[in-house]
Amino acid sequence: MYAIETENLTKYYGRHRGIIQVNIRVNEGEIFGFIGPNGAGKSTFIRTILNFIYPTEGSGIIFGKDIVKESKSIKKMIGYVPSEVRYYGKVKVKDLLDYANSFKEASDGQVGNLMKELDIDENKFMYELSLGNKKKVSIAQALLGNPKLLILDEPASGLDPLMQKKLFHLLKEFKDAGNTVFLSSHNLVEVGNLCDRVAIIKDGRIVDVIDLKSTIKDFGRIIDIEGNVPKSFIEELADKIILEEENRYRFIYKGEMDGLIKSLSKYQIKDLSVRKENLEDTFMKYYEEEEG
Amino acid sequence: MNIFKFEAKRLLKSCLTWALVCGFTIALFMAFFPSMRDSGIQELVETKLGAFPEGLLEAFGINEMVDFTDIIQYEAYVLQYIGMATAIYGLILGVGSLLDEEKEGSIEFLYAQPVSRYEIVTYKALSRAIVYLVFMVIVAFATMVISMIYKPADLKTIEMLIDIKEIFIGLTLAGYIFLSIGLFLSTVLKPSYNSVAISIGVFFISYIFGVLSKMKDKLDYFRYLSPFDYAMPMNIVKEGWNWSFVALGLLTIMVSIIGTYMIYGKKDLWS
Repeated sequence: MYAIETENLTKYYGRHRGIIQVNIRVNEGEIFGFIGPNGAGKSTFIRTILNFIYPTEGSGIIFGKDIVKESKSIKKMIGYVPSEVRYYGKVKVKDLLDYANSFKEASDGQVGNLMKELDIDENKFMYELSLGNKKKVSIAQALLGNPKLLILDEPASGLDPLMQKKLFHLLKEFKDAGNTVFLSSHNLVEVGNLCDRVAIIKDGRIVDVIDLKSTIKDFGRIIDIEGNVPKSFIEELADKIILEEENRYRFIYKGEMDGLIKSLSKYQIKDLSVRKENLEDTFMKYYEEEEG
Repeated sequence: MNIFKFEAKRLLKSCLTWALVCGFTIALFMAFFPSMRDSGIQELVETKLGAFPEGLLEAFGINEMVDFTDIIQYEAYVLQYIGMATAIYGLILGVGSLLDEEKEGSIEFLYAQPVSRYEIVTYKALSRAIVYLVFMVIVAFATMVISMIYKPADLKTIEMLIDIKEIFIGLTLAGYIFLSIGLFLSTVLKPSYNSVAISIGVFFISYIFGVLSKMKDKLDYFRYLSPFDYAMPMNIVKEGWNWSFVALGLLTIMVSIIGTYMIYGKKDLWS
């Protein structure tokens, strides 16, 4: 059984595109990343599987339950952190978490433990909190009742680096306990460090689903070179040419560095930089390909 | 039930504030009653009011000459203005029920909990209905206590209290009609609307229909568009209940609630 499984899930807002025929399968026990530019349809997808909005076409299942017909029982098994935390402003943090707890039937003391762990001031009103502290409250309420699946929309935005580290640690612990995380984010480092697989969405459609372990293993180096180097030579070396200008190239190289340096020594080089390919390059590559 | 408790707790402060303001206004008006009774003001009022066209007087709820020396009639006259406030409060509670939460964004919190849309509507409507009842009971109780202070010796206490009770049952019915209309509106309006402004607007538009119905015979049927006219305090005191209006009021409540459930269960959360 998949934690999340959608089939041709489509949402239109009147004539406007939300998501189009999204097919995603998230395995139980994995951290699944979901990346894409603004307006790509990330939040629409999340809002649809959470039944905040109804799909125009297609279907979805979470832990074997229909996202529309069995939404209530699905929500007993999940915790959700929105990208923008807009909770009841005039309610104290403690009261809000108690309210969330009243739905989840969490064990005694879990509210207190989470507040301590995430360093949350329980006596403040929600409107008094900074963006980061609101996020912490949202993370705490999502973890109440030991959910099997966490759906997080930009969870680290607003958090200081220390708290981000703590959040990632919490998520890894959560995964190690056999639970599933669905993480939508713009932060590619965050996604690269945490996720097992990543789906890339653009213009409402899933462009690709990448297995990060095998992709990272296959990462080459990005070479920026400026000098009197013939194009035929670059074409021979490069796995893929990214940029081509007069006497300037950027390309992906997957061979041995020693061979590269030695073969370049024949030419007059004005500038050279080498860095490891990362997820951001992969991500950008997908988009550039699509736009091209 | 947790939604009910949470909502009721959140609404209690505004409920008490509204009750306090209404109670204070009633006390203020009632303080004038002894002078109405003693200094021949009735004669003066009758002379002045007699000069106004009948339609205009009816528009202000003075359809037959009000006897301001009669505490119940005086009270009914005062309470029809207080009733405007209680009706608007009913509307605010209704319109704000779902709209305010969509505006604030907290509805996402609620939607993410294991609770169905129907339960959300039910507990929100129920909490507002109970809070409104508490509000009306407080105002009615305050009115009774204040009236006891000014009660003429020749009037039986029980008779006066029964009349006040009848007036407040009428005002509560009108309030519930507005609350249910507000509840329906909260499912169809965009969150960019201000719930208080909408409430005041809806009330006065319906009220104007009531006024127009009294000014021209041809427009008599406009009365049906003004729930406030279904249970006017002065009419209840002088003529008793108009059961066709009561039935229409109950029907309006029923239709609004059914419409709310039908729309809210199927609607998308505003982006």
